[in-house]
Amino acid sequence: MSEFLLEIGSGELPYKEVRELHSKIGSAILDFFKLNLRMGGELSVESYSTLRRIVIFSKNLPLKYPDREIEVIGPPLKIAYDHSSAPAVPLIQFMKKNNISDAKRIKIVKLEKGAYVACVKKIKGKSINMALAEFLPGMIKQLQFKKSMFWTSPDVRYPRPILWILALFDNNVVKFSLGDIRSGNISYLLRNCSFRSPSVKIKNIPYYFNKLKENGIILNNDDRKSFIKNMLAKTCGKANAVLMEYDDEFMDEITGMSECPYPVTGNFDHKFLSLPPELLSLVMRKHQRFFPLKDKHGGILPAFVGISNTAADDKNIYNNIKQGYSRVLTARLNDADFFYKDDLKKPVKYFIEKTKNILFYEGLGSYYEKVNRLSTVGMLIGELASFSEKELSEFKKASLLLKFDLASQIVHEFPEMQGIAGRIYAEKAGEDKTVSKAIEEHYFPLSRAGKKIMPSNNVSALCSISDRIDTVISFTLLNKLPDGESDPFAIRRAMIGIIELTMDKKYIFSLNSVFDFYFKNFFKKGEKILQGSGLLPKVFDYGFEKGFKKIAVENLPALHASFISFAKARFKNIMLGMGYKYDEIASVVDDILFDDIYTSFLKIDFISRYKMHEKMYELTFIYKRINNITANYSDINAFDLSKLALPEEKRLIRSFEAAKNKVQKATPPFDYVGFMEAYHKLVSPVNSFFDNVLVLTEDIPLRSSRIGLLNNILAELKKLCDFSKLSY
Amino acid sequence: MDFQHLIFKLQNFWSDFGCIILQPFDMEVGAGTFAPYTFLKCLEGKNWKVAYVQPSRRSTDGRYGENPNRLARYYQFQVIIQPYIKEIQEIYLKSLKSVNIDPCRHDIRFVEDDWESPTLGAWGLGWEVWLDGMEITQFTFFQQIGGIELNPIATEITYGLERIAMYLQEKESVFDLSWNGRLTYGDIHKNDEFESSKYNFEYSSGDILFSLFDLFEKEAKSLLACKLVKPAYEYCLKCSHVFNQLEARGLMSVSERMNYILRVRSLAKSCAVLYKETAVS
Repeated sequence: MSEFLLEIGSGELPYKEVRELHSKIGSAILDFFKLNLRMGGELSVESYSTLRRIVIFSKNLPLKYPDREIEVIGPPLKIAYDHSSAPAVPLIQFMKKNNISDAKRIKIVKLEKGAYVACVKKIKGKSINMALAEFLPGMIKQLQFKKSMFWTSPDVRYPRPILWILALFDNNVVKFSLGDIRSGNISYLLRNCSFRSPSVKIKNIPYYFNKLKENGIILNNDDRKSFIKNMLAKTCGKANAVLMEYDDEFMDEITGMSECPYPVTGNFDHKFLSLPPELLSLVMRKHQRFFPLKDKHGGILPAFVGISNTAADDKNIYNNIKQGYSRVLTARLNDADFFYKDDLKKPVKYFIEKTKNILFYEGLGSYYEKVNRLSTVGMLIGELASFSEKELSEFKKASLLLKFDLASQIVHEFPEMQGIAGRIYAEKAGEDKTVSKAIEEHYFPLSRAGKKIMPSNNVSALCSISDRIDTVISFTLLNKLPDGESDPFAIRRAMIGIIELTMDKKYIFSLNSVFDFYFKNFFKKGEKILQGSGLLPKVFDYGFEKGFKKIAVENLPALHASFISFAKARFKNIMLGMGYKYDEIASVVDDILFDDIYTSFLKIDFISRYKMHEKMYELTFIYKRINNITANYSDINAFDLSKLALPEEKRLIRSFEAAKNKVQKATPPFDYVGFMEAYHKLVSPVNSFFDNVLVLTEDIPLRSSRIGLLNNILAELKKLCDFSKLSY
Repeated sequence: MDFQHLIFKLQNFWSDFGCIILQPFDMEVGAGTFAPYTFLKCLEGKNWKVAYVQPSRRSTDGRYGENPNRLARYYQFQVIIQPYIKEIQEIYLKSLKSVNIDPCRHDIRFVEDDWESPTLGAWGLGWEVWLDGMEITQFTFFQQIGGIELNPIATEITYGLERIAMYLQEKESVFDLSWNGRLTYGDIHKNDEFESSKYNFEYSSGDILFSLFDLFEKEAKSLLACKLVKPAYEYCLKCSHVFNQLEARGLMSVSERMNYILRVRSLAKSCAVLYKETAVS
């Protein structure tokens, strides 16, 4: 069996391409083999990658396509032979054309049009080598990349210039050209060896794999990743240290940045340990791609591990690199130290004042204004959600400090420090723990290392909700809620955050009241009420009002509706994601004014668990029975008691009142089982009512009273859900 | 290796390679890319190989000479190679060897870095080059300049001279760099840093800067109307410089900032289009 090796060598690829491109190319080649060779399981196409090369290796291939036989149709039978049954001229010509000397090879075929002579011709399978040579250039040209460029031929694009193509079928070159590159049997090893041995002639496929291995190149991305992890573990063991937690994405980046990984450990001056550990590890990871280390008790150590791309087995080279790594890190830390200490010289007030000059969004004012809005709206939500006095006053304090660190030098230099810097600076300024913590935690929920982190207490959670509420409602009032895929201001994510937080913390509050409050307090007759300080220089006269004046006042009901339906759409998605059925969700939120996230969730959860309960089933049955009769009279909601004098009517009214009373008095408020039990008592009265009373009588006032009564019952039941939407 | 010798070595290397060595462009620019030697010349799409030192301004980075790594004014060594040369990374590594950095004895990395200049309407893909973890060079394959697709493309190599010198001289502060064995970088430039920062952050006049921007923009536009592309481009550079001063002074809101960027970009684009029409044909 034959083997195929393809190596596309290029300028250093971005790590995401290192991670993903090889399998795209591998599966294109696998598809090609499957389609052309009609081979199944025994076919194997392996793909590897490093930053310098994408490699495809395939075994168990045939040398060529299978031979095929085809039938060639000749002239009609009646003119093919003469009287003596010898070939006539048309047949002789046909035989000549097809290189047939023996007339015995001619056969007769019956077609629709009549009988014809024909011959069978053998076609030799094309060699796979040639087929690949035709296929590969087009395949490479059609690849999709995250970002691509051209270097010589505009029709050849790749993430970085292609520098060589090694293509071997067994020991032969698969010959093709692609832009400025001709395929060959040459490969290149590590970049830094290129002066010593610029290129390597690859004699055969096993030689290729050996040569790379000899030079310390680990071709398989996953192997390289685990190799690095092992090296790190060993290095840490030696240094008596523990690796700080890292994201898988970070590990992928490190893996994609080297083909010959070698760990280098270094140290930095103890004096930098006075910097916040978050800042230290940020500088090491983000800027230098180093792994920070901690001791067994979790304290950060003045040490790191970097992964170099050299076989740094030479002591001198190792020391060069170690020294270089340490020096660069020191320079970076000096920078961070400079900004951090400079920030600490200034009071928090100074930064708050500066947030007046940081625009949140055109038409929505500065962060200073945003903070004031969210603080006001948060107090309302906190009251609705029954926060304690203490929590409310802590919230008030924290909310005004949420964004001041955006004006600090540290956040300017290291944007990932937002929230963290705020927490640290507030702590240093003597704020209490709950308040300073809220500054960091108002950016939660966050995904960190695959886990979702939630704010640790009510104050933080309310800060987070209020900030997001302000974002969503502000953009609603600008009529800029996202539609379609794009969501450049992450408004969808903000809304999802509100829902997740509300459910996590079990808050009950009305989205509609929040929207109304927001509008009433910050806008009146199209003018803003919440002014900036008035200290802003002339150039900052972009108004909170500009966008709203035009849109908000006339279209308030429409904007209100779009806010609620935006919230509802996110809520439904989250419920579906949690595994609730479509009809269960619809019965609670469709065709009603969506209002309270947590209560809606509780109802859906109850329905999902009790839908199959006998009592629930029967309630649904009577609900649908009533609904069928009254559907066309939904506007009739009053009834005249004196007209409803039949025993079945009286019985129904009595049991309805009893159920209603029971539910109203019930504690705790979310006893939906109690609700179900109470209203289940209506099942028999409703059924006997329908069996004995004609609702749609000719007597119009009487009919209205009956319908009115029934609609009242529906309205009460609807407080749980719209049973008519439940499907069994 | 002294600072000035580092420059000599690089100049010699690229001169030997076949580049013409130009002297610095004589106006305030943020980077070597802004000099017409790069911005306009690459639009011609001819055989263009050039190297030059470009004194560059980054007003917001000034720190009164107090921070050992931050400067309001610094030096770039800019190389432009057009059209594309397949061996360009190897040639670059050889240039490092010429300044006593042996790529075989260090961890040299080409780290993904996609370059884009919103004010120039230019972008390209390439790398930051790391020498044992320190970024010493920007390496870019320009795809577009002034909104115009380049064909052939140009390769830009920008060396950070101070960084490389600090590495070679093992200095922790840029001001301690030896310029020629007698004087230091600090002797020559430390006071510039202090005064520049004072001016950039505290004393520049917003009113004057805002009106200068308007005046320069007006002049650029009228020169464009007369089809005088190089003078027009020079006024576009003046606008860009004033914009940087305004930014350093913190005098623009985010939206205004965007607006000024768009105004500079629109001038730059007009210059590029006009240059392509006139100089190239």
